[in-house]
Amino acid sequence: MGLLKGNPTVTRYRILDPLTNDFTEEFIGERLRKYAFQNIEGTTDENAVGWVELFAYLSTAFEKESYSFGNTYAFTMRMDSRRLSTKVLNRYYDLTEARYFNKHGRQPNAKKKKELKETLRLELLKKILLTTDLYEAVWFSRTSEIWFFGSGEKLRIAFEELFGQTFGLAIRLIVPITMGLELVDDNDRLSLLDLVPGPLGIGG
Amino acid sequence: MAKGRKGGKGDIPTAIEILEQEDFFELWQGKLFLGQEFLTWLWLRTEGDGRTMRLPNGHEVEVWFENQLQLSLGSGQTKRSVSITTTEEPADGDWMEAYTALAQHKKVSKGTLRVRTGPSEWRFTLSHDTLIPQGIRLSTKSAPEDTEELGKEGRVLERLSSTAELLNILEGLFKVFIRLRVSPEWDKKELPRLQGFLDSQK
Repeated sequence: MGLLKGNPTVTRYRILDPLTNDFTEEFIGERLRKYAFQNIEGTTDENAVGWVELFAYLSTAFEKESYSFGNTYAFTMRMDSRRLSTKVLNRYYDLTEARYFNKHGRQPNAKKKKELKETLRLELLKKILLTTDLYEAVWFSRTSEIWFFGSGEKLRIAFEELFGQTFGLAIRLIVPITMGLELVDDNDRLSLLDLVPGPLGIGG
Repeated sequence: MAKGRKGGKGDIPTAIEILEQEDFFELWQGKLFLGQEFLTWLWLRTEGDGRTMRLPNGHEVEVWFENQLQLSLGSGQTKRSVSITTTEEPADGDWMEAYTALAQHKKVSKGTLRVRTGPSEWRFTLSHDTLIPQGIRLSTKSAPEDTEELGKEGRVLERLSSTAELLNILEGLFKVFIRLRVSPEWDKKELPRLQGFLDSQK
């Protein structure tokens, strides 16, 4: 659940690279369109990931007003997937193999088995309905901070890769040590790097 | 470890310069204990001194840990972790098991928290590794009957503003902790104070 509804989870990122003058509203729109979500309906692709508009996940037009809000940009990472379980595949493969036996009077050899299974897998994939997941991202250009409304390693990697490809900017997850480095006084920054775990709570 | 890092203008590198120079994963994993120490400190502070915490900007907020707490040994060691679930509003004695776990050198690795300031209140879960607030029950100022009038954009702005308020508070709390943690006050005053509270719970 994210920014638009439900109980959100917020992953924070810091953009390391200073933003150059190239990063205009228009440029950001162009890049979003370049890496926009591509529909995989009617194909056998198992996954697709790309950007869609914040308030209209079926749209990738990215008119300025759809993603630019003053010094803040907002858009959504859309991930579509279709999953074919091994159990389903094996069930239909057993039927395919039985039909092959009836027709040829023998079991398919290893090469043929592989070929039959792949053909069947592609046929079944076409019949599986797609699942769509949406994860919003809000980019505060003034503070070089991004909020990604999703969590979990797999999802974070997908977001980091897509963001990196789209804008060519290095981003770093804000975690306790990075937050600490930003919050301590200059003189304490190196001391923080040298800290070791303390004896908190050894009493009791 | 701190030797050899180069800063831009002065001798002390900025946070961004450090992030550019260091291997991020190594830096993150090497300092996972900070998240555990923060959660443990926050829990003991709010249990020992009451829910009110003063932020660096002078504002006061109420913070308390709700009914779920997980304590574990070093970072990532989940095998010997202890999960404690109490009643919705933990009462005296409900955390005894958690205090025992602390005595076994375990620290808080995950907890469900509530934060309240003025009319706003949030409930969420924090894990020590990222301190990413998860499943935030947001506090929005509009009454449910008014949200239709706000429109889609208005509602999002309100949710965004509530999220920002919470993240600012969490950053403020972490700032109090981290500044204390790198100062001599930590060993001189804070640890003995926390220890005193733990002793009183025996």
